[in-house]
Amino acid sequence: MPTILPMAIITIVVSALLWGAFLYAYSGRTWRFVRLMVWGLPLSAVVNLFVKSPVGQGVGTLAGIDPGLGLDTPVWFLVFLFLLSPVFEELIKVVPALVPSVRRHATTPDDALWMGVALGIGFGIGEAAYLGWQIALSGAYEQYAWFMFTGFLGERLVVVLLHGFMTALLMWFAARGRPVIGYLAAVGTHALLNSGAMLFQLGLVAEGVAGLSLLVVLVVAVIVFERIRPRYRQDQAESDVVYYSADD
Amino acid sequence: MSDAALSSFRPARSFGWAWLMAIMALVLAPMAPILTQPGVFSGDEAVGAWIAIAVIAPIVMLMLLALVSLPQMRYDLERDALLVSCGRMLRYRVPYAEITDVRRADLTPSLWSSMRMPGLALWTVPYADIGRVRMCATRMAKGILLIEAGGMRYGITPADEQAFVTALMMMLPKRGR
Repeated sequence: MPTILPMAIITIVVSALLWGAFLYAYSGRTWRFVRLMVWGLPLSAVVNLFVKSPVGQGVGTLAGIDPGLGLDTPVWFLVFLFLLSPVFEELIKVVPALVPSVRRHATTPDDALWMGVALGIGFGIGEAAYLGWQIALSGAYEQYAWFMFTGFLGERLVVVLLHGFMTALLMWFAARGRPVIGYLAAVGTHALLNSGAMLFQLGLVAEGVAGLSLLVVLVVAVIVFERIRPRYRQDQAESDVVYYSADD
Repeated sequence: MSDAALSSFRPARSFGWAWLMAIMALVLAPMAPILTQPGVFSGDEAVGAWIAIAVIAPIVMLMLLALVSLPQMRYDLERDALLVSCGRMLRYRVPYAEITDVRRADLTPSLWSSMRMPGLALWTVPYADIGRVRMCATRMAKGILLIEAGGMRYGITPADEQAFVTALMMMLPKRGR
């Protein structure tokens, strides 16, 4: 049994429970968006296996670039690899929104935002499963006990939420008639999120600095999300039970 | 019940304690390798591990404190003020003379929070719709009894809300009721 398996299962279960509960509570206590998370689950494996991998390898082969060159890799190819994930992942995450049965859940711009959160979280959970599977297949970390993969748990928990945010951003702009701006915003955020890991892999920054990009993106995402997400208070205020008011 | 309390009310039951324990487990999880295999990190990694412990330990202590204080959460009606407390770690005194509004409301939580999770909300919690509320409640946002006093809002969740409100109304200044 791959040593990462228990932690991968914990990560998937905790992410689904935590961010599913978050989506339920914040979207107005409804399950209709939580259910949409399922649509995002297979998309990470699909985009990695059938899009990113063939495109990356194909371009590398055409250009005659060997993998694993590190800093000797041509700059244009590094930029290409760097943009591969944001460009294709942000695109595939919103594909389910084209399905009529999914699309009818987003009749208002507010609904579109929550649909984006759901699809993104689903994608993030699927990505955790895909990465766990890839790590298990590689056998690279088999010397570590399962509980040593807590870094995987912590990082994925945050990234799942951020996937929800990035897709929500795209859907929020799209619902306001600016899908290209939304897509560029999502791709830009995704690129910023990946920048730390990319620089670390190239040996340009320490691991701690790489983690900083995750923290920065998380804080910015929370600030932006709190500004754009729907507020339900006005409707709810009518259902308040007033026991006492000095104004009466 | 405080010495000066005329009547005392308990909060509604909740599974806030379970969430606290689950979050504590999540916070502690990254420390598992350090705690179970002390020699696993060396050099720079060991420094990083100790920094992680320095950051995480106070958080865990705070959560432990909250956990042991939860059974002591209560709302006491004293002679001239409502005393909202959760053991020694939280204590809000709300003079009746300053109370301008009492209502039951469903709030919209925000992502920013001091100590707020399903089944529990403590200290000042920012809500997306009404701003900051001083919470001492066993619910996060739904069915919160909001008390406005002295420019502040307090959020509580008495188990017997009707009995609490009736008792509180008797203590409030006779105006506009």
